[in-house]
Amino acid sequence: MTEYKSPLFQGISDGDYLPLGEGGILAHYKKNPGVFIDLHGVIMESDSDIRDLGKRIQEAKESVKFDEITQMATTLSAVDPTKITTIISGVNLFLDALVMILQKNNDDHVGTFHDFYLKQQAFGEGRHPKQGLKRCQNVELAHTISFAES
Amino acid sequence: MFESISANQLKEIDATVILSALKQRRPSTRAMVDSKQIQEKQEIVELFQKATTEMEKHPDILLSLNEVKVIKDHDWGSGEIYLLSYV
Repeated sequence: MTEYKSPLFQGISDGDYLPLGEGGILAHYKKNPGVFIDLHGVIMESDSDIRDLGKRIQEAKESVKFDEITQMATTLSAVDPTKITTIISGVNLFLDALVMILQKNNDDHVGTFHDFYLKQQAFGEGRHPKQGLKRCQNVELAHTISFAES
Repeated sequence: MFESISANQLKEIDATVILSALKQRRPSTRAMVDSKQIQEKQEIVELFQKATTEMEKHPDILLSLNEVKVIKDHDWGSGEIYLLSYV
């Protein structure tokens, strides 16, 4: 499982777009995803010391045994609905724990997003949503999944 | 099981066994095998190796965030936003 931490975007007001630049930003490169990809993300507003973020993430990971979840995802070689559900639930638990820890640290939750695609669905190649933005609590966003030439 | 068998070992395996395995693996492989009506074991071995290589290919995935619009329904304070994602 790969982790992406964005830079801190400052001076964001109601209705502002994060300054991602034309074409957006590359958040993940996933080599050989296997049988599925499962994308989770949270957007937070920082009211605390951003330098402590790594510690908070580690705290959340330890609280839900995140290593065991990623190990299960790594070893999954076929579509197994039970294991896939366990992995998704595990990552959801981790993010819930992380948001709670960050909120206790005075950060504000803006939005959480989740997307999932099987290999049979071509890993969701393309833009999501195809047009416009999708709403996730207090954020509207769009992302694109594309194949890398290797 | 077939991935661990060498080409030389495959030559010794009955062609019908390989054909049967190929048909079970992937519809496109089945069509390829049926359309060519392969009879010789060596041809089947070559096709099997090609099909196996194709099946082992996985695309590498890029995920980009195109647009993120923040909606503030109350006064949050700092206006400093960050994003964390996991794939």
